[in-house]
Amino acid sequence: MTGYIIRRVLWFVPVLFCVGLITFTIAHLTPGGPFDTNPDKPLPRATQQALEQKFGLHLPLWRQFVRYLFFDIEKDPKTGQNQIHWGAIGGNLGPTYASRGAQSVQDYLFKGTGDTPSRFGYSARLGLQALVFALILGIPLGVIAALKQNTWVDYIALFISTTFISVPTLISGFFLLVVFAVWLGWFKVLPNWNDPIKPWILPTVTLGMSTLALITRLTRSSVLEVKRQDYVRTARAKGLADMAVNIRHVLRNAILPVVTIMGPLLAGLITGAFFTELIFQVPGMGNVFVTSIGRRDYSMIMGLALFYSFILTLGNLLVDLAYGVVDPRISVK
Amino acid sequence: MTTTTSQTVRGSQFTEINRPSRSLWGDAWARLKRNRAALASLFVIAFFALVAIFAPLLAPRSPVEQSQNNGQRQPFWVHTDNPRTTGSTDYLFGTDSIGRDVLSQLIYGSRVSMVVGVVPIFFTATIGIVVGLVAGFAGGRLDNLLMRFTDIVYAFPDLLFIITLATAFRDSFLGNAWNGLLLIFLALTIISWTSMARLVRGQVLSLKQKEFIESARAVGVSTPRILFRHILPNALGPVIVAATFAIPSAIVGEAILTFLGVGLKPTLDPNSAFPTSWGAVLLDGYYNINASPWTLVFAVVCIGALTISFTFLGDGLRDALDPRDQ
Repeated sequence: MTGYIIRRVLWFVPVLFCVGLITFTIAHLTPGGPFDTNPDKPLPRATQQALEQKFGLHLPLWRQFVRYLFFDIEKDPKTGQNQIHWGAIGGNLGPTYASRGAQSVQDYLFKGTGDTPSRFGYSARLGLQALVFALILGIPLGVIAALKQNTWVDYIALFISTTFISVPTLISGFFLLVVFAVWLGWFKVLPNWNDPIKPWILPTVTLGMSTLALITRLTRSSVLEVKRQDYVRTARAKGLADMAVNIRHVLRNAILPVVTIMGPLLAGLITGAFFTELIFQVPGMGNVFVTSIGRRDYSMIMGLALFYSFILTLGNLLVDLAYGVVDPRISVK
Repeated sequence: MTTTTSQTVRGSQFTEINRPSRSLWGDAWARLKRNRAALASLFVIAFFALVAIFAPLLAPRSPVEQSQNNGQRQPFWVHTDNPRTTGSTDYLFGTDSIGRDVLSQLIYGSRVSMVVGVVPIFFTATIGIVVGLVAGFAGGRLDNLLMRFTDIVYAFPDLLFIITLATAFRDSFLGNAWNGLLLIFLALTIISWTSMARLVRGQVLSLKQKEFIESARAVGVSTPRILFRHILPNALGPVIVAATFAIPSAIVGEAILTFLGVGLKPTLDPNSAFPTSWGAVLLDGYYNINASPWTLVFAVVCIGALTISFTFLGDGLRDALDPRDQ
């Protein structure tokens, strides 16, 4: 088991390396430099050179890549001493192109100002809320559907989950926005994010809907399977009350698969929320991503791609490990 | 013919059942026809396909024709006090912010969604089948390489990768070909062929062990013939199901790309076959959401109807092609 964990964690390295390589390649294959966003007003040559110096764009490509992902040794312009410039591996995602290097990608994403949380904070909160929303509604719905299998409760739960799973956030988000914000006027199209509750409701529901459906389905099938196990029959045979059997024996075992997929679910919710963030104007990472596309801010795009991939890989790793720990029947090589 | 025999059987009279033999595909089709949701979806898809093909005949106006002082007209059943924006039967679904007929835009937009749903999936399936067959059958290093590669692709959030690609190459030759459609096709194919290859590989690995392959080998059938005559047809069912499920995400992918301004390049050329897409209508509706929410609603309903239909069809196909799963 330990060997397996180590191997899986080590596999992280080449995956992230390749992700970095691919995004780096795309960014550098792109015609046009990062600063000629306005073709009518090209930057003065001196400014351009200074910026290139600052971003290390005068270096050969391979060295830029190593510098971006790992580290580079460079001379401090003031003292003249060699010093190490850490790259993504040391948590430095480089300066953003859009700010002309005044702000680093990681500060832009992870540093809040005063009372307002960081961009990552917004996305993380939205993802967490969506997960909690999905769990709170999905687990009971799935359990009830399974315990009352083939009744109207079950059919309704199944219908809801089938529909919710197949509706993309693009559809559900706009639908909720038009109905509740434009027609009913319960929410604002341009929300005030100082309000701690109201602006979060619609994006949370939008983002959580498909996860809710997924959890309902998963819980239902899991409960159905556990219900037929011998130990449940034994529990009933020894005269345990229905409620006690359902909670102590059925639910406790049936919940395991749901628990194990929570890691990747949360990772998926945080990284997959960008369209939801866009529709409801949540000032999170997804919105940053969209803005940086418009600005062609490649350092931001690369940084986000790396970070998102990191979260997703971590989520997938967690699920594999969790399966092994929780269910010893699944053998890990 | 079939009904009469089944009646006699039910009447417990043993008569010889002489119905025409049905192929596996015929069986699947019969099962699919019994699935009402799938059948309804098939009709919706056929409807949109017909609309896409006959768009020039169906569209009441040119989708690119702008008329002044005619922007943001409401659909015909909504009446306002302002004669310039009140609903009129000349523009059944109203107009967008620069006075183009929304209905005609939606009709032409169905072309893009249909094409974007089908073309990349075709490439995905082709590449996925070839790579999956070879990797699954040959095994070894090639197989390993494929699996490692899929791991990397899995690490990317799909949509993010597509958007990054579409943004990066937007101004290049690729981004300009076919109003930007080629780049959308490429981006969608690149991200989705690996999971298809993985699926085919899994099928091949399990089929390889089956007795009928062993017997085919024993009588001396050549390897390519085994691959294409015996393994591929048996692996095709799951591939078709997976492809059907992949279509909605491709359609939504295009809509999102266009919505973000890095997808289809809407054109004003009246002779263009793909002048606009649902994503473009969506964008216009979103920008003017307070003035004319209906534009947004129409686009959402179109995209929703088509994608949900493909999902339900996929569900039906899965049950029809593999009845063991039910």
